[in-house]
Order: sequence, then C-alpha cells, then structure tokens
Amino acid sequence: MAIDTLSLSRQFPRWRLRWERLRGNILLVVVMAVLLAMIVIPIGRLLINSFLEGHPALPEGWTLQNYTTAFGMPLFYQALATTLVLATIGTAITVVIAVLFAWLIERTDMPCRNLAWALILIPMAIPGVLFALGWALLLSPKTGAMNVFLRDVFALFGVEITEGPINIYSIGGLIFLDGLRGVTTVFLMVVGAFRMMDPSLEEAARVSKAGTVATFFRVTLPALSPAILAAAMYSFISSMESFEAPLAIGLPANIFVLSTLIYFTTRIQAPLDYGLAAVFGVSYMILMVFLLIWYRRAVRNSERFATVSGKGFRPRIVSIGQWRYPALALFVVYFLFAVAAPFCVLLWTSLLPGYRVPSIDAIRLITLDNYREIFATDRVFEVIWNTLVLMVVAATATMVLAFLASWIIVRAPVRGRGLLDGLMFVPHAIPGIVIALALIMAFLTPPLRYTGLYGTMGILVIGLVIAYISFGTRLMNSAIMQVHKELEQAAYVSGASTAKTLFFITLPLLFPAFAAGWIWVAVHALRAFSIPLMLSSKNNEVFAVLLWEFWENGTASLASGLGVLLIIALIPLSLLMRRFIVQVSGQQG
Amino acid sequence: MNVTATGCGRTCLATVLISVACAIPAEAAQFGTTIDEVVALAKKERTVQVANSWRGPVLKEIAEGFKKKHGLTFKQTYVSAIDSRERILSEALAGLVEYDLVNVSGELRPQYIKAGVITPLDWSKLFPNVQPTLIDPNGYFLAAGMSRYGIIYNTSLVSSDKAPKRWEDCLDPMWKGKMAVYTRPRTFTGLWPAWGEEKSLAFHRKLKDNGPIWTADQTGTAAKVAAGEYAFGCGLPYHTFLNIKRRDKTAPIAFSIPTELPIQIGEAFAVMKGAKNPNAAILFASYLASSEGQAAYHLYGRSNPFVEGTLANEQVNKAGAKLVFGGWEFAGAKEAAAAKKIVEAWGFPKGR
Repeated sequence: MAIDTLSLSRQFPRWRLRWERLRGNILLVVVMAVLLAMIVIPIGRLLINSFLEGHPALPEGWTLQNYTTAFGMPLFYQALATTLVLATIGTAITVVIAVLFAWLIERTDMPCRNLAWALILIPMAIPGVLFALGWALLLSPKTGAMNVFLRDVFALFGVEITEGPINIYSIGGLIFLDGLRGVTTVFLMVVGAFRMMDPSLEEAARVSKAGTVATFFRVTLPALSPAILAAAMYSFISSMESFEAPLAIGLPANIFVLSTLIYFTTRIQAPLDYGLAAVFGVSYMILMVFLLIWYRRAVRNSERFATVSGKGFRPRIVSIGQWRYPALALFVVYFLFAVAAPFCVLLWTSLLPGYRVPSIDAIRLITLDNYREIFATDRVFEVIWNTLVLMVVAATATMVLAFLASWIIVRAPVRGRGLLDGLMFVPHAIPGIVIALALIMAFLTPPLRYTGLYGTMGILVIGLVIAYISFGTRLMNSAIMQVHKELEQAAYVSGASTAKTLFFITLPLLFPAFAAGWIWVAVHALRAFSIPLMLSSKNNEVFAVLLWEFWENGTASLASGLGVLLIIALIPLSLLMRRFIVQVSGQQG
Repeated sequence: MNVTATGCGRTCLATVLISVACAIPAEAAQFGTTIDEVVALAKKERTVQVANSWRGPVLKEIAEGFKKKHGLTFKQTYVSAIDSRERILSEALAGLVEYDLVNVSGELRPQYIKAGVITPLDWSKLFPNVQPTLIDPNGYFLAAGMSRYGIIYNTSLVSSDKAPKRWEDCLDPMWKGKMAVYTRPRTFTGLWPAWGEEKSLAFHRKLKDNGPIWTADQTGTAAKVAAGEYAFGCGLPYHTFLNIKRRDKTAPIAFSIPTELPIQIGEAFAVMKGAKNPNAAILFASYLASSEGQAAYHLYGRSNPFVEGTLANEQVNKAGAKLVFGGWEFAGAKEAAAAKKIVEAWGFPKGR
C-alpha cells in the first residue's frame, strides 16, 4: 500500500507528489487537524485574549494592562499560595490514606477486604460538587448537622458553645475535603504495585526477624516509593486543578484558588473581565505545564528503580493480628466520611422543604415533594437526556480519537508522530476551568465562531474530549504496545485497508482497555462540573449545572434530591469500572 | 500504510457542507411599525421565548393574562444573575439567538447596545398607555419589574427590635462574621445616586472591614439566612425573600426595609435581533408593562413602588422609607462604573 515515490516523481510534478504523500498519511493529517483545531486554536485564542481589552467578541484593542493588573493584585498571589498549600497538604493526606488502605486491602488479613475493595470505589460516584455541598450541610458553623451534634455532645460535659466547633468554610475545611476526595484515584494507582511487587525483599526482612511494622516502613514503602511518588504527583496536579470545593466552600469564606479566581472574574463579579481571566488562565496553564514536565521526568526516572515486574508471583498476605479489626474500623470511618455522611445529609435535605438540622420537629416536615417537583419540571428530562448524550458522545469521541492517535504514535511509520505525542500531553496541563475559558474565547471569534458550536452540546463534547484525551491516549498507548503487529500485518496481506484493520482487528483486541477508558471517561463526563458550568447554555444544560443552579438559587432541597439521584446512577458505573480496571491491569481484585 | 481517503473525504465534505448550511442565518423576521402591524404579525408567530427569573405563581398569572389579552403564549427559560445574561450576549455574538425577549442586567445593558444584538423600538408610540418611566429613552428596553433592596434577617437569631434598619447598621461590629453580603453590588449601586462616590466608598471600606461573609448568589444567601447560617443578609432584594417563603412557609426570616430604600429597574426587557417571534415579544413586553401585567408583579415581589396601590408602594409608605432611584440615566454605564469601584473597595478582582 505504500506509495512508490520514485516512480511517482518521474510522472508527476512536485505538488502532486506532496498531495499523494499527504493522501498516504491521511489518517495522521485528519487526526492532527482535529486535535490542532481542538487544542491549539483555543490555547492560542486564550493567549491572544490576555492581550486584549473588552469582551472576546468585541475587543477594544491591544493592551498589556491585563498583565499589569493581574500581577499587581495581591489576591492573585494569595490565590496562588492557597492553591499550592491546598494541593500540598491535601495530597499528603490523600497519599497517606490511600497507601495505607492499599496495603491493608491488598496485603494484609484485614476482614472484609473484598468488600472494602468495592466500597473504596464508591467515592467516585459522588461528584466533587455534591461532596462539597454535603459537607457544607454537615459542617456549616452554625447549622451544620455534625456541628450541632458535636455541640450537643459538648453540652453533656458542660461545655456550651454557640457555633462550630468546626468551620468547613476555611482553609482547613478545603484541605479536609481535598484530602478525602483523591483517595480512590491514588488507591487505584498504587494498589497494583502492592499486588505485583516482588516479595523477596519482604521475605528477606522477615528472615532477618523484622516485625510487620518495621517491614512495612523499611522495606515495602521504600520498594514501592516510585509508584507512590508518581501517584502523589498525579494527586498534587489534580488538587491544583480543584474547583468544586473551592467554589462551594472557599468563595463564601473569601478564600480564592486559581480556578475560582477565573470563575469569579468571568461569571460572578460585575462587570466581568475576560482579559484579566485570560491572564489568570495563561499563568495557571504555564504553572501546570512545569508541574507536568516535573511529573513526567520523575515518572521516567522512577522506572529505573522498578520492583514491580511481569513475573508471575503473588506477595504473601501479612497477618496484622490484633490490629485486624481496628484496621477495618479505620476503613469504616473513612467510608463514613467519604460517602455515607455526605450522602445521608443530602438524602435528608432532599426530603425537607428547606434544610433543617435533624430533629423530631424536622422529621414531621418530611415530604417527597422535592422529588415530585424535580420530575414535574420538563427541563429535568431535557437535562437527563443532555447528560446521557454528553456521556456517551464524549466517551466515544475521546476513546476513538485516543485510539487513532495512539495507533499513529505507537505503530504508524510516519513523520510527525513525536509532535502528535507531544500534542496529546498538552491537555493534561490545562485545568478544566482554563479549557472552558479558552473554548469560550475561541468559539466567540473566527474561525471557530463560524462552526456555530457555541452554546451547543458540541462545545461541551469538545471540552470534555480535550480534558480526557491525555488519559485515553496513555491508556491506549500501553494497550497497543502489548498487541503484536503480526495480526495487523496478516490483515494487510489479506487485502484489508488500514481503516478496516484498525476497526476490525486492532480495536477488538484492545477492547478491555478501550472499554475501561470509555467507562472512565463516561463516569467523569457524568460528574464533570467546571467545563459544563462555564459552557452551559439553554440547549446544553447537564445534571451538574442544574444541580448547582438549584443550590445557588436557594433550593438546597431540590439540589440534594437531584444529587441523590445522580449518585444512585453513578454507583453501578463505578463498580462496573472495577471489573475493567482489574481486567486491564491483569489483577483479580 | 495509508488510509483510503475516499470514504472519509465524502463524509467530511458532507459534514462541512451541513455545518456551513446550518451556520447561515435564516432570514430576519419582520418588525411591525404600528400597533396594528405588530398585532397582525404576532398572530403568525409562535410561543415567545423569554429569558427571565420568574418563579412561582407569577408565571401562571402572567401566562393567563397574556393569553386572555392577546391570545398568545410564552415560555420562560430561567436565568439568574449576571453570568446567564452574559452568556446570552456571547451566544448572540456567536450567531445563536435562542430568545425573543431578554431581561438584561443593569451592568450589561451598555454591552448589549454596543454589541448590536438588541433592537431599539419606539415603545411610547406603539404603546402610549405605558408609564413613561418604564421606557428607556433610547428605546432599547422596556422595564417591568422594579427591585427593592433591604435586609433579610433570621427571626430566630435576630429580634425585630435589633434587626438592622439603616445601612449603617451593617457596619456595627456586633455583626462581624455574622452577616452576608452578595458580591454583585446592585443594592449599593442603587444607593450610589443618593450617596455619591465619597460616602459610598467610605461605607464599603468599612463594610469590608466588618468581615462580612461574601456570597455569590442572592437567593442562596437568603436560604442560608433562613437556615440560620447567617444572622442576616445586608442588601438583598425583596423577591428573594418571597422565593424562600413560597417554598418554605415556616422559614424564620423577615424583610427589613431600611430608611433609604434603593430601587433598581429589576426587569428591563429587550427584543433580540434575530428573534424568531419579535412581534409577539413586543406584545408580551408591553403586556408586562401594562396595568394588567403590573398587577401580577406583586406575586413576585417586584411591583412598582412609584405606583399608588401596589404592594411595594404600601410597604414603602408604611415603613416611611425614602426611595432612592437613579432611573434610566444611571442604569447602564454609570451603574457599571459604580459597581467597579465598589467591588474594588471590597478587594475583589476589579473589572476595568
């Protein structure tokens, strides 16, 4: 199928030769063009807008004022510092909890380990915004259900306080939420390493009479430190992008992080200022690029110290003796904080006309009216439909694009693969809020303005594809590497075209990885918040946006009702994902 | 290895052609220049698409009244705060016009005019019976609802005798950390014409120093006052109080009318350029501004305090409050400039 360029050069002029070469690489050209339009144009537009005065579609001339204003604002530096502090301490908490549970669940004889493995995935079913709203209801200083309970307990001991003792609307509150939120992801990143690690070092430690704790701290942890470090850095980067909790908890406390500063500048403050937001976005993106380069280098170096190999062994289960049940109790406490408490308070609020502290009087007010009101609103069905469409289309588009891009990167003998690989890395450095801001600017101005996608489901799909394409490509890259190209070559020999081979030979072989990626993107699309919120319009509203609208408009009970329904829908998807994660990573769960 | 381009090429070409065809705007609808023409053209149009923030019984009342008077219907898409109006402006600039009639926020009115996305009309010629104060002198907007801003407090936490009754009461250190202030300063831009810049900014610096809890939504703030999280919200519109009470009749909140009561044009409707039902939209806006339409506004808490016999007028007279109203001259560019200065005094990112 390769084009004989020598014979062509004798027959055709140079332009024709170039055209034929282009045709020969049509897949690369199309994929590159799509990705360039989706990624490079919005980023370029964001950069341009940072030098423009006025509304993106009605610019009032070039200026450096946006930069001087942004960099002269104490709030910008405060937000930057808060973002870093939040990410650092939040990550430390996340990693300690996740690593501990990975070890307990995977390597010890803690009771109910299999159940714990399944339950630890449930937090993924609670979108960040609902988690934050749940905890706002639990730990608001005056009316938070948990604070009221704690005050009642203190009163039994003669300590009378009128508010608190815990204020969720604080840096501490944000750190607490951030620390709990990332546990599932870090757990999934390190649990495989715990299962696959070479047990000989631990066995040697035991032969040398080291105890369980000493072996864990002096052998197991150091041996797995590359995997833990990689997970910690990933978690740090995710925390840097955190938006939901800072929006629901930080803003009322006048605590800004970079993401909420952008949201505030383009959505809340009057008048709105896109130029200033663009500067915040560009600065945020540059910071994230540096962090990702650091992450990639660390991960690359960590591979040199691999203790997890492809050998077929299974590490021994460690007995933790009398600590078995305390360990289980610790897991139960985590589950209560990460899932049960926020879910229960949302359920409680959804059954009341307005939020009330749990009491006998409040029980008398219980009603299903909120659920009736939710289902009586015709808009809700439109929103459910939009959410499902977004979930399916975004997941499919992301994974198909990721599959094609990965195939080109790993297999296609064409020039420009390195560029494509680099391009796939870029979106990982762009926080969701910045992607949304860049898309607003890009689709309000030529050439993308003429696509008519602004305000449609299309722009949401593009936003989510950009947000998740890096993950999809990484997943597909490693999956394609595991499939030998002999099978594809056999198809070519039998006369199949590249497209046919890709979709009928390669893709079916990669189905577990493709399905795992699809479900991962679908779950994330269902709970996505910053991108749909920033890009929402009359015709593309999704669940999370309606939920936030209910909350913002003072109908916490409707927001809670909608949230409860969303969580119930997400739980089976999260559990289904486990099956594919296990299949992809070759684990047995 | 290469991929045959033919199949992909045809599909791509078809997609591009369909996209281009969809992007070409449809022929603009015709506007009537006399009331008879407007009525005749409106009969051929469909349901008016309105972007506004009505909730509760006002919707039914207006729908029935409009149907009875003109035999037409409307559909509201709920929008609130400044960002949704900004979104509608952005959509219009991108060629997407989903609404016939939009209630444009005060701070955004100059931008809508500048962007050329709304249509100026000779409202007084078309509807001579509409109160002149409701008509924008430049013809872009027709006002309907009037917002009045006061203090919403929790009756379980604050007794009526201690409830703030003057704006200066929000500066009392006893409320430090207990009161909420909405970060979009419409209440305080409403006071600006009476206070002037110096007094306003001095007040806002002190307000900031008194450690308010900044909030990003007004009804949400009122809901948290009702829940007991904040003692009161300093500067919230009356209709948010009604919104809470309508859903939760037992909510322990009350509305305190301060001695100086800022009034803002709460609903200024504009007909969008490219609207699919422009004549029906004109009739709908005029219905809202008519005496029949205005009668429904007491249900939503946005009746006109300048008109004798309205609920707002009764409330104001009973409280003996002094009305502060900047009118059309202040609404728009001057209000936006005042908002910038207030936001800056509060220490938030300022729009320049």
